[in-house]
Amino acid sequence: MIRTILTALIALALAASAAAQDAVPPRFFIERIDVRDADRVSPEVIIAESRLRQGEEYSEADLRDAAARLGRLPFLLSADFSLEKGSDRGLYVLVITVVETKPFFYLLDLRPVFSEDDDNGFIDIDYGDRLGAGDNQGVLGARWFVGRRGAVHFGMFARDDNQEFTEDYTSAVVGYTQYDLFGTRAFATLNLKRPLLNVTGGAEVSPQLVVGVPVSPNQTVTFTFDDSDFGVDEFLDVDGVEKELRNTERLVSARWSYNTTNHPFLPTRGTLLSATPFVAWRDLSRYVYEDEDGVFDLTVPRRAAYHARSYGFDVKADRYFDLSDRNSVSIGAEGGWARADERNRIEGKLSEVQRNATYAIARAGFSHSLWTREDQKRGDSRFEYVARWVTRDRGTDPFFFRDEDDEFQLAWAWVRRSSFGTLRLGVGYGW
Amino acid sequence: MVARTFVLLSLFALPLLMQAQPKPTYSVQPDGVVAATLPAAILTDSDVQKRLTSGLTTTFLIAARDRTTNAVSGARLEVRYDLWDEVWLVRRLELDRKPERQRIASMADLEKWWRTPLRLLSTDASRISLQLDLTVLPFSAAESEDARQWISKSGGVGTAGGGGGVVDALIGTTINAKPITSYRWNVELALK
Repeated sequence: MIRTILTALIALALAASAAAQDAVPPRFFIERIDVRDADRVSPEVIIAESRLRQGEEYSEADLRDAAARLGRLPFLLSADFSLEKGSDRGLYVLVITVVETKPFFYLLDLRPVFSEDDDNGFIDIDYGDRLGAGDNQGVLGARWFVGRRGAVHFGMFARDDNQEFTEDYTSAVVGYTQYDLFGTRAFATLNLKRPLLNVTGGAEVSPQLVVGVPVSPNQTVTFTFDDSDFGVDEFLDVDGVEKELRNTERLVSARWSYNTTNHPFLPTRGTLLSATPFVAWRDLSRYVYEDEDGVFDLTVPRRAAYHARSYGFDVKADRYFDLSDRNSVSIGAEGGWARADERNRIEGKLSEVQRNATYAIARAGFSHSLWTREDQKRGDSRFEYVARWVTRDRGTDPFFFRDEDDEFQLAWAWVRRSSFGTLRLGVGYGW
Repeated sequence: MVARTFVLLSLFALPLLMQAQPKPTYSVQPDGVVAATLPAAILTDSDVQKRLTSGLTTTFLIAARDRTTNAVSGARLEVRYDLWDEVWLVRRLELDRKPERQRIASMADLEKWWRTPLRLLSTDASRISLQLDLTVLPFSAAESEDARQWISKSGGVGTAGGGGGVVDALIGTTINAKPITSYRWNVELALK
């Protein structure tokens, strides 16, 4: 009788224990991570970028975040997670099955916004330069993975931000990325770049160093040192005299980001938050056409040395919601502030100016995939609709007649993503 | 001749096409609770089955909308196959009921559990126009505490405390991983 009661109690305790275990979110001890269908991408790079480690225990939330992180990598189209039995009870093999992109890649983003000019009554084309910048950019290149944790790349890349005192340009780049730096899941990219567009001519090769340090599964701090030499350009002034121009910029920034989105270029769900303080130094030799009293005079070019030290920050917040297999909506806002201490030395006469510039963008979007859920595993084809309000205050600037801009924009774009890259073609209208 | 062949083929194909569109069956329980039994064909869908045997949780989110009143309710099912114990660990969240967990030993028993009617919404109406959305998600939705809090604070769906059933059922459509598949059914039901 006693034996029966004890057996019943033990059985009850075991059942309660099992039930309690079921109630706790499961955790899995990952003995090994097995990357499958990776032909070009090194499995070590995929494991490093997942921020998971063999020999550690993870919850499903950890694995879900890791899957989302891999989905954001530009060299993977998709990554599926599953478990297999490990070498002993309670141990698991995490299987990551990937679909890779091609080694050659492109990102072409062309969405000119036709803006109505209130003063002149005609329609102008704003290629995103300054208002809602980032709509127009082009990347064309190739990437090869070398060794266990490295990749070399070359191509043409565009830099385009919303800040007032930094340069936007396109450059030819060759570089190397080391993943899982010192076993820390950090990465470092060293680029050598030569500006091609938006240069004063005769640009020089200059270095760029980018170091990304993960601080949590979804947070990364990215440090950038960017030295740009737009070179010395000889030109003939209005009197036919040969002159020289020189333009350089050095930019140091630290970007904190929190990213749970599902895609690097056309996210449909998740959150992206970022904050980027920066400091920049810019030197420019130029000619000003004004007399000693500062009155505009085209006939009197005077040599001027311009130096500006600017600092500021950008903040950005975007949230994406999947409505269905094909539809998603988004809301977002970004803004920035910068201050520049500018020094102009015109033929020995020094003038100093402080300028503040700000910008703000608020947007809402809707996107609809033309492809079925099954087809989206290997790319996507989408229509995007965006409504956006943008405003900018440049501060007092001798180069622009309008110091303030304030515009409402509606834009439409077709986006096509394939294993080669992402193409976004669209058009907008602003008023 | 060609036309007749086409008609005949269409007649043969029609049942196959109808079979490819699995539909739930509906019932009315005491107190006007509308319940739905999900089609077993969903469990045998190749993508779903691949996910079910992955060793990770598969979440089935069911959102029921009364198209007349726009009232939304829902339910959630979670299924995970324990690779070592070789049992199915399942969890069911329904209207006005506490979460129910079970360990299921076989696929046959899992299908039996699957066929248990899901309590979706309660109504006094004699007829109801119902839209049922089923979203199949990889990973567990139960761990998305951050999403639940965010949605609750934003006033989007419901509150985190009492009445959190709808929130529980609907989170995951916004923040979790990409859906494996989804279904939508519209039906007119005469309840009395």
